[in-house]
Amino acid sequence: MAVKIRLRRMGRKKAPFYRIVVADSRAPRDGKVIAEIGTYDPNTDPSTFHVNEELAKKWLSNGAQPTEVVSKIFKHAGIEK
Amino acid sequence: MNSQRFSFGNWCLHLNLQIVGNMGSKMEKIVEQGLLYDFYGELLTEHQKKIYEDVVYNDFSLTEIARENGISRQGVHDLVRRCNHILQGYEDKLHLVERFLRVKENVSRLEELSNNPNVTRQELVQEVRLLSHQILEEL
Repeated sequence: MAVKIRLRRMGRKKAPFYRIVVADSRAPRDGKVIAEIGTYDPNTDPSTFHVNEELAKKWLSNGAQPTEVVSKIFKHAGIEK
Repeated sequence: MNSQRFSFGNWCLHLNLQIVGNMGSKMEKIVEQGLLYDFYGELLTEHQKKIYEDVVYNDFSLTEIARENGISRQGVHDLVRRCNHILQGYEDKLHLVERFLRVKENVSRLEELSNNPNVTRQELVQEVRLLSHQILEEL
C-alpha cells in the first residue's frame, strides 16, 4: 500500500491550520486518515509545528512518503528515517 | 490517587514524544497559495477550483490528482500553474491578501499590548491610537 504523509488543511477561511496526517495514496479523495501525527500552524510568527517523533519515525521507516512541505517540517524537527 | 498518577505519567510521556518547533517567518508556498485561493478562489471555474483545492487544501501530488481526474500529469501541472498566475494577477491588482496580513499584524500588536502589564496607560492609549489609525487606512 502506497502511504503518504501529507498536510490536511483545517480551520476556517483566511485562518489556515494544518494537521500532519498519514493516508493511503491510492484513495486520496475518500478523506480517510490512517493516523494523525502532528500539526502545523502558519498563523503564528514564526509559524509553529508539533510532531509526534515516535509515530513520524515509525511511518517513515515503514516506507511512508512525506510530501515536500512535510519533509521540510520533518527537517526542521530533526526527524530522519 | 493512583489514577491521578497514571494520567500524570501519560501526560509526561505525551510531552516527551512531541517535537515542538518553528519554520521561520517565511510563508510556505502551500500557505500562500491557500490564502490567495481563500480570497480569489470563487473567481476560478468549478474545474479549476476542484483541482486547485486538492493541491492547496489536501496537499495532493500532481500524479495523484491526475489519476483521480483521469487527466495527464502535465495537464494538472499546467492547470495549477495557470491558476497560480490568475490568482496572483488578482492580488497584484487588488492587494487584498497584502492588506489582510497587515491588518492582522496590527491586531496582534494590539493584543500583545493589552496583555503586557509593563505598558503604562498613556503608552497604551498612544499605541492604540496609532495602530487603529493604521488599520483604518488599510480598510
